[in-house]
Amino acid sequence: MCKGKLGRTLTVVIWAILTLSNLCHASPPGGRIYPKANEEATEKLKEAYAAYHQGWYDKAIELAMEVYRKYGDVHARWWPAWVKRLMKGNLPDPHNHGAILGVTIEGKAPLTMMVNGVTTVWLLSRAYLEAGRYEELMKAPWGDPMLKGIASLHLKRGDRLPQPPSKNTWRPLPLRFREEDYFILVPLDEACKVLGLSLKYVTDAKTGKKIGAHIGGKKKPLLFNKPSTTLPFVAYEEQGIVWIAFYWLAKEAGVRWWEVRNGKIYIAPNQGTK
Amino acid sequence: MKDMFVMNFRAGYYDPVNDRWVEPEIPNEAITSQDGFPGQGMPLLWLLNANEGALRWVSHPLGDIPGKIVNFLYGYAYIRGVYAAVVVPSKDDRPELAWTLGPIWDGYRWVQINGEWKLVCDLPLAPVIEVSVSTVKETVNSWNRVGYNYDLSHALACVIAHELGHTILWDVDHNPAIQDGQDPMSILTNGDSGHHVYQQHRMHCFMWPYFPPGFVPDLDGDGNLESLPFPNLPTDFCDSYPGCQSLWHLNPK
Repeated sequence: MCKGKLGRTLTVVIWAILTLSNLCHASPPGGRIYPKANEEATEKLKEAYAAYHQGWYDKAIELAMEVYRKYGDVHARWWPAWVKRLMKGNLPDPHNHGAILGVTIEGKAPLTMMVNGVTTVWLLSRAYLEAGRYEELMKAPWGDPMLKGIASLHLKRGDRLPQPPSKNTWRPLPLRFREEDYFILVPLDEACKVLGLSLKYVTDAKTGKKIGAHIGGKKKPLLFNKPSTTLPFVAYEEQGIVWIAFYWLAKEAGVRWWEVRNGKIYIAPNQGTK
Repeated sequence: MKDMFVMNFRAGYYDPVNDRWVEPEIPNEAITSQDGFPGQGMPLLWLLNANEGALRWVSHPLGDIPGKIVNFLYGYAYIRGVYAAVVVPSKDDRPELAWTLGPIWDGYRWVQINGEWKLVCDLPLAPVIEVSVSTVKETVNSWNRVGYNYDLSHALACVIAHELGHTILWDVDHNPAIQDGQDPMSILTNGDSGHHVYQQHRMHCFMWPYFPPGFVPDLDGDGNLESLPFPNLPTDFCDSYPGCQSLWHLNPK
């Protein structure tokens, strides 16, 4: 037993010496390390990312292609505005992968889920696929091989995406909005009324603050200010108003096509609204 | 190896103040499911409290990255046949589906203590696996739109199992003639980190280099895929060709 203890003590000493010498190396990640996007490319990719998630695939392609032509396949990472507010600016460089991972696994804040990131070609390939521009993706020399494979199967099946009705038939919604990180945000209460979605808030038992909402009769509440890897934008409360990304609510209401024109949100007709 | 410990950094949890269940980002079942890691010949898997262990920084091509020092691994991992890994959700599209940073055996070496040669671990770090849940979801949806019927939690289990495979098969190079590379052919044939090799190894295994297993992109540019994914996702590592189940060990051997 004593021998074991001594052995362990010595091992600790050896470990401490080696630790101080700091000669440790981790193995490289199982993936490619991309060039960092500069400020201009980051801003363009950020806008393209928002366009992609809001269903404006052609716009996403246009913006990402501009970056691809100028800078190639680069990696953009940024902190969304809601994260900057929540963390009061106390954030590492978005490209400092290690620091972000460190804060996450220390349990301080799940920063890996709060930093947004895209690479040019991955975003372009996904946007082409979602836009139904299969042939163009297949022919693109830069396309992601897996997404090109999926595009080839769509072509074989003869899949064609439904086209939106003529824009003359679209109508404006009586709904105010604001833009943040290129996402269109709307007040939750007003938007639910306009879109005909039921709304029930979840409040914190201690503070009485709104912490989430059951929207459209969903059992699972959407929580505010909660990072999520599957939602590109989170809802948040500000001076009593909950702001939420319109594209998310629109999807819940069955609205497939929408756009912002002349300072108003327009939607295509007969899409589940009252 | 006898036991494996995994920390899930975004499991669901009960919020007692508000008497509600906070939905998980990575459900524990994606790690513990029989469709994923704990298959035939695999170690017994335990889920650990995510707050276990302190941080230790190591240099890396991505810059300094953190690892978890898991106390019970220190000095004993190889002898006891135990192992740990950390699973973290990511929002970035790099790592695409998922990637693994830093296996624990980097710090292992033999030293003479009181005249006896002993294996000590200078760097008892649990490797970190980053999983992009949204990319896994989008990938599953994309395949399902062209006629597949993949289940998201099974897909997540496959992706995590593949990465857990890398944390242990990191040193296994099935094809030393080809190293790394980013073009589809070298991805399929390099055999690095335990990846299976195209036209040589089984395709229905977690260690297939593409997800879903069985998928081979259009290599000759004729507009046709060389191989379609399997309609059913694998539920285990292969037992032969190359036999991932029997390759599980910690270095040095």
